[in-house]
Amino acid sequence: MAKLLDKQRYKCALGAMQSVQAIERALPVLHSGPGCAQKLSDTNGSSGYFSPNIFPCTSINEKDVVFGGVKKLHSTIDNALKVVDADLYVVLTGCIPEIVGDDTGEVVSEFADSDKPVIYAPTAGFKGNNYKGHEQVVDAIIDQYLKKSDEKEKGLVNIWADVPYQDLFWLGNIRELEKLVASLGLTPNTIFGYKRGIKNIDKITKAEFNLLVSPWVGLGSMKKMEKKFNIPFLHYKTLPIGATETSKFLREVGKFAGVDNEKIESVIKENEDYYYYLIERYADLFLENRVINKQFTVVADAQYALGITKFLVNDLGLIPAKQFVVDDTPSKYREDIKKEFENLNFNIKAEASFETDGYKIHEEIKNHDYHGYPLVLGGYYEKEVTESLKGNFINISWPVQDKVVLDSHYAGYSGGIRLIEDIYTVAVQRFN
Amino acid sequence: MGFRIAVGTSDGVNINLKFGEAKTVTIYEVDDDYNYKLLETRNVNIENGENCNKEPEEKCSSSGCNSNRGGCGGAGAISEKVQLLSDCRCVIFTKVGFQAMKQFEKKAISVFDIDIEIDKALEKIIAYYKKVNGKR
Repeated sequence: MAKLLDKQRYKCALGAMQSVQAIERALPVLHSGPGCAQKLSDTNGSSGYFSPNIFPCTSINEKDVVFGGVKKLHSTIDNALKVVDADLYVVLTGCIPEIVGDDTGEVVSEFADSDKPVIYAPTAGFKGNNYKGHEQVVDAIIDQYLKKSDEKEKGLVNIWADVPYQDLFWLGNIRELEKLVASLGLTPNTIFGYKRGIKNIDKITKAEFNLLVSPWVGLGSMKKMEKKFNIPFLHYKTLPIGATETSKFLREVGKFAGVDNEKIESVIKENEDYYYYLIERYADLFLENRVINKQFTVVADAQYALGITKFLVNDLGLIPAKQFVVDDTPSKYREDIKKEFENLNFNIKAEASFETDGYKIHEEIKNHDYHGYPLVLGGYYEKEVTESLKGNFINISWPVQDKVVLDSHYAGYSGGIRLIEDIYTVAVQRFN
Repeated sequence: MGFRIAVGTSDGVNINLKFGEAKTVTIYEVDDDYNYKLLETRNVNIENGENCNKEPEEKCSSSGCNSNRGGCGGAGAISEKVQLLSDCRCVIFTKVGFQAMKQFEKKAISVFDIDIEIDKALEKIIAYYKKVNGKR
């Protein structure tokens, strides 16, 4: 019997076109039905040099299902190369051509001699969601574009974080992670966002190590690079938000990179001093408003559910109710992530539920006793249910409807401050 | 339940006619066991004004088929021609104009524009319908 999923928080693997879009001057070429791109694109910051409305697409129809769409794909790539000026062409396949059995790899290989690189990632919807699709795109770059390099650049670190556009704060977050890594005297290298693009992709293989900041997204790609290019990786599972986690993050990265301990501690001290200066100034506000939110719930993908839970417990001293991880985390990673939720300061343990069904999540929120007004950080779907409980709601995960985010971020020391601002802005609005 | 497929062919071997230029259309019938046989050759020549019965396709391409300015490309003539094939599940021609395609779609008739042998095309299309119908 078919199962209905209420309020899903992710898209199909073809949604990875947004990961391609996040690479400057990289163009997704879609081998999919008409309308796929339109449905998958968010209106949140997705216009620009290439926007989803001009992505080349084979727009396959019934005829291509019956007779195969490879001819059309060939001409679409061929013409994209002629008409659209990009640095990297990434062919993404939708469900239809993969069910029918079009050999996309074969067609793409015919363009091996073209001036610009053409690669392809199988992103059929039945293969998984856009978190998985994001990995497929990174894997495609590793497998089909990058070449092993014997030359290493000292201190160069590739930073990988969560999925662009799916995470609305992706740009700000990755820039903040870059800043943190740079403050340790290392050279960060990322491929997503402004002024990165192909020249940074070319540097990937010269890095000393990969730094993955995500509970699970991208872990497969890290292992692949370790095997193929001999680049070791550091897997930091929690998105560092606020002082406790960010200091931990800097210590761990510094240790892994062999940075002098004194240097690490001086960076931490400088950041923490300013951080706690800010907190101290508003201590009375936090104390007064604590009574309104004794417990909180995060409804988000693994990175935010974990990152924010740690921040609210370790930095703000709130008590976690049940946390919901809604990104359909593959079951092999779940145990590890659960353990992270239980590894909080003050011996506090948070219960994490890997639930994708919005209805069930809302029922649990409604039935839980928050000992007062709940604080819910989640997708826009949680707004109504939180309001019905007279709780405080902050929209931090997809879908984001009541917030405009250009380059703000929640990562790092400054990100923690941003999140405190957002939470207490909602809290004080209640009374004023 | 069986169904019919309309094919644009002049030699009975290859699909080699555009919808607009076809004066006759060959109809194949597919039975319940998905075997096909030639049913008939149907006359679909629509007389539509004196200046249009010769080389209609050529005239179309020069004046623009979608303009609805009457003549051979007019919606009226097309819908009459489409009506003559309304008992078919799909039609196969080397090319089907935009207007005609819309008219077929309205009647839930699939359009395949492809240039191959009839037997090959029928084989693939019938295999497809077999799957769509859930019979293997």
